[in-house]
Amino acid sequence: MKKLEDYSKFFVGFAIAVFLILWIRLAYIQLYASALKERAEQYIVEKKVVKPPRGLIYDRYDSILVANEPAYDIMVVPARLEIKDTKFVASLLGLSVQEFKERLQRAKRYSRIVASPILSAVHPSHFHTMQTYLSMIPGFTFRRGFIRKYYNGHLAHVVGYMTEVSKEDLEKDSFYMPGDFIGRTGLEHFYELELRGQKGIRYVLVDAFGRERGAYANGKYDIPPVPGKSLYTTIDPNLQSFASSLMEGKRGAIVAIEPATGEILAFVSSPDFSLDSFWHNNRSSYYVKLLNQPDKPLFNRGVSATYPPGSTIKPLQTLFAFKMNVINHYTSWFCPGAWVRGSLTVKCHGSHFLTTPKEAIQHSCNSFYCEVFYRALSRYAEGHRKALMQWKEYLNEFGFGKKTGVDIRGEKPGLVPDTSYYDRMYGTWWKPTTIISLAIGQGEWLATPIQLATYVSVIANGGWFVKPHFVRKIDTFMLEWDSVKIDIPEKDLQHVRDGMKKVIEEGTARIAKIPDIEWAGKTGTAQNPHGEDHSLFVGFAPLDSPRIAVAVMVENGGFGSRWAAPIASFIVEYYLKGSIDSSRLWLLERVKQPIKYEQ
Amino acid sequence: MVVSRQKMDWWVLIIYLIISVWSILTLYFIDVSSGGASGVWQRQVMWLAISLVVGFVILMIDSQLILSFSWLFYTIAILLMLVAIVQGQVVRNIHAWVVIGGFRFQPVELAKVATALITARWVARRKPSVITAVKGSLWAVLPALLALAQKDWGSAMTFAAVPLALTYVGFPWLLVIAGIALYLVLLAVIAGYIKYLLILYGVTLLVLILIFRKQKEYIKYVFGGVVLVTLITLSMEWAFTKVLKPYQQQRLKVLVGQEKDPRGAAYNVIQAENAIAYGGLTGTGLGQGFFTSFKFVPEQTTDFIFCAVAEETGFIGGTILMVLYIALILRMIIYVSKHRSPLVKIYAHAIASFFLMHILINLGMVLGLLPVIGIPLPLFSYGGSQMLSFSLMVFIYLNFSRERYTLLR
Ligand SMILES: [Zn+2]
Repeated sequence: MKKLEDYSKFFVGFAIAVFLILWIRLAYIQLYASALKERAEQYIVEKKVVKPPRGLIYDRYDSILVANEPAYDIMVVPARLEIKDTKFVASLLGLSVQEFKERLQRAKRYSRIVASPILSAVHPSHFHTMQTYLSMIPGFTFRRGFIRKYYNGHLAHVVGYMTEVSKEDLEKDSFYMPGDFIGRTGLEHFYELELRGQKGIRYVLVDAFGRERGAYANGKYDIPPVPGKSLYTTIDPNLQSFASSLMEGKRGAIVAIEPATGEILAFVSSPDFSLDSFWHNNRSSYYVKLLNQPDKPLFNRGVSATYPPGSTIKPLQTLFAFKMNVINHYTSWFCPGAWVRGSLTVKCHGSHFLTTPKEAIQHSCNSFYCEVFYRALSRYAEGHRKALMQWKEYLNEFGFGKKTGVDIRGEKPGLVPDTSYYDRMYGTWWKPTTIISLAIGQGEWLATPIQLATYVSVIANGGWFVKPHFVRKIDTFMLEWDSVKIDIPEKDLQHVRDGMKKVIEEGTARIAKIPDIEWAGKTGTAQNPHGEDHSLFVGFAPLDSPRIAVAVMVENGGFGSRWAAPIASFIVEYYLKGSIDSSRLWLLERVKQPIKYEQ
Repeated sequence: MVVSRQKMDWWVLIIYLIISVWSILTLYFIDVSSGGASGVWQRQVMWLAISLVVGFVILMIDSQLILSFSWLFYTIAILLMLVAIVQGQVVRNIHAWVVIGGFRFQPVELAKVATALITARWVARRKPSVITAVKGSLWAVLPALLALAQKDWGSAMTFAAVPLALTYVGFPWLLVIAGIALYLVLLAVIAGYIKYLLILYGVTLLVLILIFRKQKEYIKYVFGGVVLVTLITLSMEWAFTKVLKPYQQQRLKVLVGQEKDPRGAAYNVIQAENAIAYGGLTGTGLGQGFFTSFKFVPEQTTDFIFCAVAEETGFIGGTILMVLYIALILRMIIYVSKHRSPLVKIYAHAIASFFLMHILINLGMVLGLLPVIGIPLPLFSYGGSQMLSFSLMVFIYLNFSRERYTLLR
């Protein structure tokens, strides 16, 4: 048997060798390599983040709507900072001393030795004077960045504004660093992930004063930033500007859609605000001012405001009555000027003798719609509850009562009441007469302008529901938007479209007649318990092969024919013909007048 | 009757305490100077206290009892590693943590002690021979493979400590050397230095032929040897470029610091080197380190903690720490060399070897000699798993170091 030694000589030798090698290496770095040490004393390698340019936004003709402009971030390295006159520096940056100290504190919390922004996105015109003074103070450095440049001043509600990231954003997503900007509303918010790109990394040599002394290792380890993706939108910039000019001085919204594709051609929410001001030095006070304005310019009326849709939905109620087989194309009706059932009376604006349902659309006859809705609700032996649920589902198909899914922030679903809604409201005793005002688009039914535009697109588009949207292409990637065929017989649609044509030719919206264009529409008036009613209109043109569907809502505008219908007619005329016929200029003059609001 | 022939190894205990306390001091000054109340040093104090309590209990237990538990210990460690793989937490890309009673724990650290113990027990009961040594090394294979499955390359490599220790009972040391050489060649191949390797082999061949030109009978062995090494190198190169997918190649290149690294391994090494160089002979003074207090070196409380020592206490401090480590390692195997139980000697070799492997891989990385593979500096890096496991190794050693007749069969 082999006898064991006292210990392994190999192991001892190996251990000593290992330590000798490590020790010699340590000595080499710390004592011998003086060049190395000098480098350590003079230069430090710093990792710098390179911001990517944000994605651009184009209109439907591939012209630029939103681009980037160079700007600067003013950075501080708290550990190196030597400020003698705090008041002077604060005023140079356009901050109060208090604000400046808070921002400095924030920078210190982030890091004492890594530069972080104390003022971001400074416009070049302001930057140059600041730089002259600040570059003499140790601890200040500068970084190139971007601010947005807008080529169309009427797109604030579509494009959306950007603000500096908040504490919550920083916690939620490690992509962001203090001083970064993030999209808050509109497309800037919805497509933030596509627009923002990927940050790059640069390794730079920095001297003891924090000044850059060149790239480390000739940029061998650098990672270039990836620019954000560009959005190709569906906006027609001329129509957008024209539509905005029509809404000046009014509160309301316009949504214009290309029915076949669901592409939004113009989208106005009035009053508007200035996106440029969100990049100015006093951006926070501008924001506060907007928040406090009584006409709520930041409120996106196109997708967030809900109103009773009024008579604009009478074509839809006609389709529902056809579907429920309670009327046919030849149903006639005598309207004595009101619809009376028991103690309930719903007034109509006049007395009508109707030979077909389309004449009911033409004259917007209330008593006809109360009657057919009443019949539809009473259709089933088991009662009106089943019929109401069927009605609700039918409306959902047209996009009412739920979000259409349009690609900007803040869309509201509106409201289509159902049985459980009324049970909560009245208990279970409610009857068809209780909810009869739904027949004429009043009562609890609430819809947004984008829902109205989408619904009229469906009628224009042979029953196809196409999700309304602003973006058709991201870089080179074409987006596919949902479309669903709603089950409506073509002859029913034709009947309803005929009625809507008559509305303009000899009905409630004769004022909206356009020379050489045959088109269709429906006026509406939304009851407003707080003041004058809202003026509504939906329509599409041309009649045979619609290229544009439009919904217009003017707050406190009274009858649909007063403001909304003529405004819609100018949108249609401008989009299809590129100009306004001279015979209608007097009307254009009239609808451009502002509306006087009480507060 | 229990009679002591040899007293406990007090010196190892003293060195152990110096290193542990130094670690806490270092963590304290890092914390204070970098202005953060990270709570790191307080937690390390707690871990040391726990380790000392556990150590005290171990010293109270009879060594036979510890040995009889070695099987159970090994099994538990392996099972916990499996648990970590299946449902463990992922920290720094390593699937190696289990949570017990609110504490995160890395079972691989436990496996190191258990492997040292069971290997020593198994080998000591057999005739010392090459076969015994090679078979004994197999105990390390399972935990090493499990560590690989956890993507914990560093810990997997430390299990090479077992064959290294078993050179004591006859593990062929040439095989150890060959293993290390192979590893270095592999690093060189990954780093893309194949041309230089082949030139090196050519030069070596010429030199050897010149040396052995009088003894013709050796020439063919020399020739054969160089051809074999060249073939191995070329097959590695072939495997690296042809068998591995580009993303796998990329990952390995990152590991040896040859590629742009999104996680910044290259950046770590540069800053570590700068921090160490900045320390110079005497260092900047405790709590005064520029790089340390400004947190230039990532992981400076864990894997890269030696930077803080080298920057703040300079070459002198770094040297003292290294001397403490080598003293600990050599003292353990030499102190028990007159011990009558072969088990104790083998165990001492095993844990000395684990210390050595950790220090080699860790300091090799920090000093820029070896790839960036995260592994703690024993008893020094911040972390409870590491602290407990190396304390266990040391205290079990201390228990064994008292030679008692009960240990002799
Ligand atoms: Zn009527």
